[in-house]
Amino acid sequence: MTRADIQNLTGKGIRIAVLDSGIDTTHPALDGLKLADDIAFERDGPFLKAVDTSGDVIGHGTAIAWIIRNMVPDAEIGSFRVLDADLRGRTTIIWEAARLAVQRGYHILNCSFGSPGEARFVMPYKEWTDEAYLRRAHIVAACSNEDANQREWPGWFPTVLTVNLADMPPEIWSHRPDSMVEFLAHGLNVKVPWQGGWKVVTGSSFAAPRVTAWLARLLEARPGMSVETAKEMMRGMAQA
Amino acid sequence: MPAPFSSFGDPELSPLADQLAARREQFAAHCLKEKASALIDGLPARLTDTVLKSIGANEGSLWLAVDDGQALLPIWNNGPDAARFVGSFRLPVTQGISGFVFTSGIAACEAEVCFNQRQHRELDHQLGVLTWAMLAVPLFFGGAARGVITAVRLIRLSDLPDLKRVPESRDEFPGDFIPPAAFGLADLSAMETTAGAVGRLIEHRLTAWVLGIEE
Repeated sequence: MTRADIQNLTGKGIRIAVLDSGIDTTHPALDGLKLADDIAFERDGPFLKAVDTSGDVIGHGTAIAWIIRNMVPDAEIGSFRVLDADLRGRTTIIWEAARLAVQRGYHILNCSFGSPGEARFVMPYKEWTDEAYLRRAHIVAACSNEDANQREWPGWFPTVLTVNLADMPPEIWSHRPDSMVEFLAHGLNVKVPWQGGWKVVTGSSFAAPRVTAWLARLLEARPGMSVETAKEMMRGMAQA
Repeated sequence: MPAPFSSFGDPELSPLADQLAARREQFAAHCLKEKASALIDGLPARLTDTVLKSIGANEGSLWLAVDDGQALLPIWNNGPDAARFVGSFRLPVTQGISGFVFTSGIAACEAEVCFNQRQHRELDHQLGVLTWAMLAVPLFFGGAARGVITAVRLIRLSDLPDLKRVPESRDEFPGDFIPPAAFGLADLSAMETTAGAVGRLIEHRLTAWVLGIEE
């Protein structure tokens, strides 16, 4: 199978969870988008509970969803809000969101963020990345823009497809061997919808959803593919 | 980065690491109340200033989280209007590019900012500028996001005397006006490296304070 074999696929039958700041479906750029889930998380004493919500508290998730939808318009998208003003519970919220997404049968979790790669965060991230791996749910993550050699979670787990930005055409992605951040995609001066308007932005955040969309096309062609196989095929089909 | 050789943690010092981190935390919180700028005066500020100049930023600011992490306070700026907002202007963390970067931990690099600006247009107006390009990177120390470092390329309103309102597209600029260039990948990388170094310098300063030694 080559990139050309899947480039016209639309993500039909593939469910993509966007773990981000929410998705604003009232933005004209996302006209007609029906989210499969629209979930935020609230503290309930010492616990966390998922609640139905709507909207985007920052704007970032809307941009991510728009990039994905442009490339794979038939994929189902679900919003799991993990980026908001609650910093102290961030790791726990991400964990809960990822587990919920996996349990609800999402095939791909797009994580356009990275947490500092400190040892104390290893287990909280490993728990859910392992659960995703075992259930054949694929994780695509962004990495630090500064240096792809800077350890971050979840991007530095080998079961994750981790993406850095590059100044390259938007239609392709490329593979970088010998790095924990194996994939590169377009993320420079991308015009995206944001809080009712548009912004011109740069960052690995906006590169990751391109790889997510290509992965969705691949999974549409080969449903049920394991994480290792998908990653190997994404390496093989990448721009040389 | 781990040591490039196999080694064991010092049996006397290693058990104190958590205690030292907790003390640094106390000192940081106290310093934010007493004199926040003391965290970055000197070498961290000079480093930031040098990098801002090297990437062609007109100016930049260093913001630290206050009010239990609900607001960002500019504690340093190297522009001509620093005195008008440093230490006084408070940005809720739910607003603006800097708020987004702080809450998400994701760096932002934006162009044509003034066309899309929703917050703090009035601040720009007061300062007689339009923000054209902006970089904002999270500042981590003590194992957590503590603030944001920003860099901007500005348009001086004095260069556009006929402009009657905040423009929403390039069409509203005079035909012969060329706005500044956007920041590029190398600029973004330089700023993130700077934020990493400033965070380490602040941690070192806090350690020196806790131990009662000269930095």
